[in-house]
Amino acid sequence: MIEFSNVSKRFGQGEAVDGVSLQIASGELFVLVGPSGSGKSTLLRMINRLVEPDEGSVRIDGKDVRDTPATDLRRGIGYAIQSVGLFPHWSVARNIGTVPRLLGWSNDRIEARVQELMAMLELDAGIATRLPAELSGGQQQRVGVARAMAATPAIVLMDEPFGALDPVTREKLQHAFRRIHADTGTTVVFVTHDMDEALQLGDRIAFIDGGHVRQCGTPLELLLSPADEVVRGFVGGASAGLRLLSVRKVRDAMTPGSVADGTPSINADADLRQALSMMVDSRLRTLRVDGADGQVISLDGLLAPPR
Amino acid sequence: MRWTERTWPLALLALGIAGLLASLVLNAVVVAPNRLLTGHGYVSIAIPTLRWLPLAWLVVLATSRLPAAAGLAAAMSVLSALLLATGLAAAGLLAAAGEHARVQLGAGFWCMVTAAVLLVADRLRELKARPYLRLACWTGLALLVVAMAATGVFDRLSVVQEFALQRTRFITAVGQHLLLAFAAAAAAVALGAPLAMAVAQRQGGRGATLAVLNLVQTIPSMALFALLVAPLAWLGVGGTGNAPALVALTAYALLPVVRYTLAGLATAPPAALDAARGMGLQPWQVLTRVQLPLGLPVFAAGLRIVLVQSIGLAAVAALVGAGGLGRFVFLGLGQGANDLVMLGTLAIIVLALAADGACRALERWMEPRA
Ligand SMILES: Nc1ncnc2c1ncn2[C@@H]1O[C@H](COP(=O)(O)OP(=O)(O)O)[C@@H](O)[C@H]1O
Ligand SMILES: [Mg+2]
Repeated sequence: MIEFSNVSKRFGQGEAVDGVSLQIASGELFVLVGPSGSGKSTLLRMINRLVEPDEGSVRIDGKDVRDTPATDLRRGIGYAIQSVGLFPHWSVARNIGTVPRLLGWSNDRIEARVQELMAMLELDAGIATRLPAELSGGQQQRVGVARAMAATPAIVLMDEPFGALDPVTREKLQHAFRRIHADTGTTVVFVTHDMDEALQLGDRIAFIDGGHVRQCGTPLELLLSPADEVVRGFVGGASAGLRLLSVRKVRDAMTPGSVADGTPSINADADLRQALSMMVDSRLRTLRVDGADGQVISLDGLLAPPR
Repeated sequence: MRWTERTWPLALLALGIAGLLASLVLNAVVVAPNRLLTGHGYVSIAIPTLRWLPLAWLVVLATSRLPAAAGLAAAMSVLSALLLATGLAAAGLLAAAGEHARVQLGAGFWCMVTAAVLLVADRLRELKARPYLRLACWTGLALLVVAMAATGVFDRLSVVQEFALQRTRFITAVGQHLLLAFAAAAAAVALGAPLAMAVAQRQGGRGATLAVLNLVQTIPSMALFALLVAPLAWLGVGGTGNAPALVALTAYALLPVVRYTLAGLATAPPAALDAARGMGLQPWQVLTRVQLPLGLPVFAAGLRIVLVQSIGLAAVAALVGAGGLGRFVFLGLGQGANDLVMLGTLAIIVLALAADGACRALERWMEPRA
């Protein structure tokens, strides 16, 4: 568990982070979202001591981060950033193996781990010997994520890791990342200024503004009961309804019923936005649900208040 | 591209015309009664062996619209033929002159050599010549000159006669000169590189360091050498000789060393540095594994600048009694023996060019690795 207790940080006059308290559970994918300059990166970087708070403390599993030497602490925490920061003079494999090498793993073990990570992030094994400049932006980000996870850290920090990518590549990576997170059970703290990305990825979300936490909760909580007008402004807007659909699963809105033979079906784990899309596409008000006998998803189900 | 194709190659024309004019109106050689007195100059058309030169320059001019390879061949031919013919002309003139007579190289000769060398360089650039072709052209020319010298073609030139008189002292001086320049460069790197690393992170420290070193650089070299004589004598190191020379040369070399070290350290992308720290590299590991390897090409360029600068400035060291090629320059100035001055100056230029070329080759060899 990561615990911020009343942390503050000043740069010059301005208060970058002002009295923030947060608790992040183990295995959680926790998102810090908010406008640019709101203090998200500063908060994130307090966890691996790239920033030291002026007041308050950050504890990991009850232990103050200041009690561990900074380099030891950092080798146990994955770190991936928007501008990737791959070492331009090192091959992809060497980049991914950075932390394991620091930790003194054997070459065989490093090589095996690099191969495993490249497969996990759907990177072609042939690019292991390439330099970062020879990769596409999407590939670079995948290498950056692989590098952050290389030494199987219990915590991974990610600062807008997909920020510079085109929407298609970004969505692919988000999916891959959700799957990897589910498989590994790593605690992830993820910074983004993109509300859709936050809602899509986060188990829980903290909305940061002006160095304060305005609201902390699940995506559904933020959408259904924003704490104030600022949060409402960010989560709401023209696509508020669609966002609400996108954070709910077919499984949570399906009802008993029957449909004609040959009606298209949708996976129970798909989100309701995909269900709506399929309804519009096939001009049907009701769809069959895969792997759930006697259950259907209907337009009325989409419109019913969340259970 | 099309625009440049349609325009006249102005640089080539200018160089060709300069060569042509030099061959017509400037003295190619000067015959003096002895090594100290001023003599009588001869334009190249006044000497049978050199009479063809204006024609050769016209040919060069005619090739300016031809492909670069043809122009390169013409320029290189004129250059080598000019050197050979001047040597032969000197022998002829000397045979007809008195016992102590000297044949000195005139302004016309130097203008023509400069124009021809610049033409070769220009044509090579135009050819977008691969590094090895460039290197082959220059070493080819250098070897040709060495071969002519070895077979005695230049023996009758006054500069070479001065060299023959000073042979042992000249060779010692070259050694001293290089030692002084390399020692100063090494000392400047040993002091300046750690200094730059120390101040790299501190805005204030960096500004102050560069300001002080810039100030040093503005002190005229002769003044700095002179300024150092008294304090060093007081320290008991000896106010004259190699010590003040080394101190002064090191002081001058510090600015480029610090500046290039700072530039080299700044080569690493900020994101890579942030990632390196964030993954738990120790500060020294960030330096040795990320910043130094990425800055290598910049460091190499800095080293080249420092070496060339030190080789040039080491000439002044002779003023405070240090060895080196500067001695010939000042000795010649004192005696009024221009060819002794010329000997020292030419040797320094050749050393500086050789150091520059060697370092560039090294840089290019290193580039694909970095
Ligand atoms: N190293 C620093 N020096 C000075 N000011 C900083 C530094 N890091 C962050 N800040 C300031 O602190 C505030 C919060 O920055 P940051 O945490 O990077 O915001 P975010 O990641 O939400 O965009 C901004 O006003 C920024 O200018
Ligand atoms: Mg940020």
